[in-house]
Amino acid sequence: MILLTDIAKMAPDDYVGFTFFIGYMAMMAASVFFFFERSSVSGKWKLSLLVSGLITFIAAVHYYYMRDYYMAHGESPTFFRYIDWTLTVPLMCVEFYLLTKAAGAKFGLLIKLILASVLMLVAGYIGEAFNPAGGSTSHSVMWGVISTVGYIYILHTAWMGEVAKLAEQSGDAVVQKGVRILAWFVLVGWAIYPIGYMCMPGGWLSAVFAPTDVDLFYNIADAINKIGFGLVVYSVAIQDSNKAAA
Amino acid sequence: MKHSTLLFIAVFYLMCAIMPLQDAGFETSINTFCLLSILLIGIPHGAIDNLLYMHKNKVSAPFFYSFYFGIMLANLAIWWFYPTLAYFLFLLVSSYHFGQSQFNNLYKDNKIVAYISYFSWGTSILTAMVFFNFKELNQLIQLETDFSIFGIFYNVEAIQITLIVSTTIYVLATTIYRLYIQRKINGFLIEIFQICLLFTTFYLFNFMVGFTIFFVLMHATDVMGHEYNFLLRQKIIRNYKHFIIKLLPYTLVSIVGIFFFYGISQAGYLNSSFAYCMLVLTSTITLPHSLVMNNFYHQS
Repeated sequence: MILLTDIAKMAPDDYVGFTFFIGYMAMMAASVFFFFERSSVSGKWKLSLLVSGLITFIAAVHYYYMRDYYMAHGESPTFFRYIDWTLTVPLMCVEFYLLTKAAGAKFGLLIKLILASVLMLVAGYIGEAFNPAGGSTSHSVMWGVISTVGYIYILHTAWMGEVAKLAEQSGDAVVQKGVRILAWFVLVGWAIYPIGYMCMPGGWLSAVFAPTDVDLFYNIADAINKIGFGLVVYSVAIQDSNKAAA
Repeated sequence: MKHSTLLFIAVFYLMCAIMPLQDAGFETSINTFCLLSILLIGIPHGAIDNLLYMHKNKVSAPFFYSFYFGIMLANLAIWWFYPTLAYFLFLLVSSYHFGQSQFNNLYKDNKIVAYISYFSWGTSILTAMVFFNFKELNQLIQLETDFSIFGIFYNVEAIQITLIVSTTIYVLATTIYRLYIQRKINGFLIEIFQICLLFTTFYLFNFMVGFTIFFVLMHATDVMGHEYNFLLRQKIIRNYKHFIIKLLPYTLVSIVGIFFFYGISQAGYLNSSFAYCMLVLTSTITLPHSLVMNNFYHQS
């Protein structure tokens, strides 16, 4: 690990480095916010806010390491990146489960979502970390397709499958709105990650973007999805708590 | 969100994942797959027009077939005497038909917005498909001398202006309706996302892939869904298997007809090219099909 004082210079146009620093601070600030705001919501939402805080906190710790790794080696910290996602993406699935639990979501739903997210991440990791030197299109395509299958399962569950149906059944406008916004995050926010994936050597966008741009897309996507996801849960929680208190 | 939209999004993401495999063999495979999808899913969506019309309007088979073939003959006559007019009519009818099937469950309370949306959405999609693949289509058109009479429609500036105007009208209509009349922001966002993704599809993929994704996934499956639900409610069919059996006869007739035309065109019995004949045939079937579907949606 290197300390900030050891860093001689950062190029003003190093947007990847810039987003690593921003990402780290934003994730940490969001964690503090979610942990402190737990006291503002009613009992049933405290666990959801704790999970939101954990997602951003785990990401903040990893961003701390990823930032240093990038500064020291000038390359993508794929290893740390996927450790971070392996922990935080299943936690996002937990958020879906917690939102719909009151409407009767079963533990099986959580398991299915976690399995789909693991498929998505493991395939993505193999595609990225074991990409042969110089890049292999067939390798990145094969693992990219497998990863996309996991993603499509989550997308379907959130928009039309069990999660969407449970939200509908709940009859609670606040929960419905929350699930709908989270589903939008999965549809649009999570779709930024494949753009990053396709920037690696051998990928579709490798001719347009440099390999280091992978991290630019990942950092932007992480900031939107992790903090945004948590803020949606917070917004639902605070609305519901206020409604209950009135 | 409709099932067809989610299917479209899923296929779009998967296509993005596999498209880097671009070599000659891959392109041939994907184009063959597209052609098969059009034949096996695209064509069947119009293969039960007879059932829909006869059950909706309680008319006899002779009446229906006279009506259907009458329109087909009239359209053929227009193609014979005024091909440019017939082509324009085909584009206009297609725009309306695509838009109507897309928004059939909307705008029931506002006919003006409905018609504006049908035409503007359909025109926007058709022009985007051509605009984003202009070079590719232009090369194909140059190869077929029959298509030279449609040169007036293949002006990139005119297509661009039509695309901008129709998209603007559509976005304005949907904004007014969804946000100010219906007050449903989610529906509005889905529509905007969908049209952006369609444009991206036409931009990223070749014409065949773009057209197939739109026509098969967004149009044909959607229409077949409406047809299936109607026939099930009317107790004309019992299940999916029964529905497929009902679709089979005219689907097979159409596929055999296409191969027949291909055969006689290869044998040199036709004065026009196979592509031109297919255009005339598609237009001739589209016109009565669009009228049947218009009747179907109006009475739903």
